[in-house]
Amino acid sequence: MNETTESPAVKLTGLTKSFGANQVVQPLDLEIGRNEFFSILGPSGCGKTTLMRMITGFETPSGGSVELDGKNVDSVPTKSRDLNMLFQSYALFPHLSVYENVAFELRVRRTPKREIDGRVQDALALVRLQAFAERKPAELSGGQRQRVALARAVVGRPAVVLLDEPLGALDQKLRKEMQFELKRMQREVGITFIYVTHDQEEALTMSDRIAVMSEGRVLQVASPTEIYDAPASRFVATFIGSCNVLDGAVSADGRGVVVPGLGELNAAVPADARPGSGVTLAIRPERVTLSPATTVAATAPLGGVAGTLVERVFLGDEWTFHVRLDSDVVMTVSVPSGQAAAALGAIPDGAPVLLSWAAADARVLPADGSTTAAPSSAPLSSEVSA
Amino acid sequence: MNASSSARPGRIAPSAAGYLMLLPALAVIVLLVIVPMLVIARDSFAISDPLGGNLGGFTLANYEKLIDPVYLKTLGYSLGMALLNAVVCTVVGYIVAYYIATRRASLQPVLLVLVIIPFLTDFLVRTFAWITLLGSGGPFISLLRALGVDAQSLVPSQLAVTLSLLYAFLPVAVFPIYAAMRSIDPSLKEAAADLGAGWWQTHARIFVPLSASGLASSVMLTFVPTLGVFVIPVLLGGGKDPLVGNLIVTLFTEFRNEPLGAALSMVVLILMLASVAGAGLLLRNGARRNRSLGKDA
Repeated sequence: MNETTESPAVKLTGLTKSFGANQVVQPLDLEIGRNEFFSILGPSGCGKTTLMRMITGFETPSGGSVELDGKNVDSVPTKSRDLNMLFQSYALFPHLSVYENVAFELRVRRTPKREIDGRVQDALALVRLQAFAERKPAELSGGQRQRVALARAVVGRPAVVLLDEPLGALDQKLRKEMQFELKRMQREVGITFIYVTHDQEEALTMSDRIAVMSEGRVLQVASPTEIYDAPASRFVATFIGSCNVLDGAVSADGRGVVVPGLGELNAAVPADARPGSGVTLAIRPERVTLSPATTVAATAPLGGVAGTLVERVFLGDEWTFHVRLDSDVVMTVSVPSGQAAAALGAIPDGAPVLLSWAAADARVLPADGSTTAAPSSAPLSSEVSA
Repeated sequence: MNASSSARPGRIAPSAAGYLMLLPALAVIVLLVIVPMLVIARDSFAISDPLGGNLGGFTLANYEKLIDPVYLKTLGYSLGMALLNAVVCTVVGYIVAYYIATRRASLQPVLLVLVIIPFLTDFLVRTFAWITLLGSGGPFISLLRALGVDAQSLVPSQLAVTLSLLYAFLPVAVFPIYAAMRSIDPSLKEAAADLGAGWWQTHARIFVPLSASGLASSVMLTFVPTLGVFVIPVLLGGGKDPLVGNLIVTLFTEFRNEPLGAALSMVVLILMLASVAGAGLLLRNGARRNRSLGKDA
């Protein structure tokens, strides 16, 4: 990001929170740059909301510190922190008009009267709601309310705006539109956005960087492409996008991964991987090539696996094929609808097929202790998460 | 959206059995409220015997007699006391209601019950309890004396009357305000803090306007019954500053002038109805203003 000598917009050091014996946020360090669109992504209950509430000051951390713009704000109350929040419920004041909702902060902070109108109009223009200034929140649609909340959050020109799953209450189509709107507005106002969500698509679409959280821990902080193409762990691989996961071990020559029941598979094994060590293989469904098995499975090239086509599902923009491998694991393959998928139409369900992929697309991840410890007789796991 | 919000919640069609079940309540109201009220209304126009008898007939003399500085002064004083009590009850009720509404959900019903429990005991007993509390041997005076203040008994006094009135009507104030506050989204408080509002601004700009309907109900529900109070001023105020309720009792019992007492009762009744109607009108206008904004502008 902005690699300058400036201090980061937000800096968290050893920040942690426990409710009783339950440590919901493990001590973590994080730096969020100025003007960055930063997402905190994780399933519900992963501690992302608590983390955000500690940054705003609604929750008192159990340990560690929060710095805003290089200044420690541990003893600064919410109302004096240079940040605003966009609440999940929008939290618009129902008795005030759109205009007064947006003007609230300026009035409370005693901004000179002649300045207020111009700034409110600017904020309403940003979210394209000038025509709705006199309406009450109850007379607006969900998307409009969300934009009022955003205008209210940026009107005071804070250094940071935190957004708590702001698109959760909107329908699918509006959500997609708002993703681009939010990104546009963030670029226009030049404010650091910290976007908390459980929706991986939202995070991938809008963010400069994403922090993936699970069970109170930050697992990976990276750009959307890196998170998707080079997940650091099995959780990240399966939580973001769909992913086929196979447990195995690094082969003796260190060039592939041996999966019980399937033999040696094509994979991007890191140079420092110890032969024989347990690993997890992660392959995205769209990186797998499906072809009809014209020859017997035994002649499959390295990286190719034989299986049986179980079923196919039409999703509009793509077809999803489920293929049962010899080890009884079901792998998912996605093919864009159109010519490529049409060519596969001739394969009947139940027919033998061949799966293959480029070595670079099969990520080798450290195995989760729990899964590799399982004896070979236990069923192999393959996870696919949407 | 407008169509669904303006639609009435489903009503149950009235049935014969339904009306039948209403009968006992109806009978009680007619016999114990409507009939006595009609009798008083009739008596207020009756001719009074100099010795206190009720001669019947029709005259406006009773109402004319009420236009007398003695009565007007008492009436004015009563209205003032009722207004003062309504305001004090509403302010204290707001604080109590806010405290309860911001506790965790499981604690709220407990606190509400604690507010009501004292009111399950008899009104008279509670008033006598105040005499003990504020009297010369009571804990309050003892405490003041222990602190070296030369305090006399607070009963009878205006302060004792005010305190006791506040105590008598506080739950009536707490409940409507609590009901209004409970429907306020708790994240509004955080939003206000997030936008730089301190304690005072949050209340003045957010919580007071949003609980306005509860506050108006509270003022009305404490103002009206305070106008009818007559035991408290006698027991705690020594009867030096009678309220209109005391005056009515005196007219009926000591002066034995039923028609005059009835006329004064009617005046108080009309004042109460007028204040209820006024408050109702204010509330409805407020609601309509909000609703008319709901139509497409």
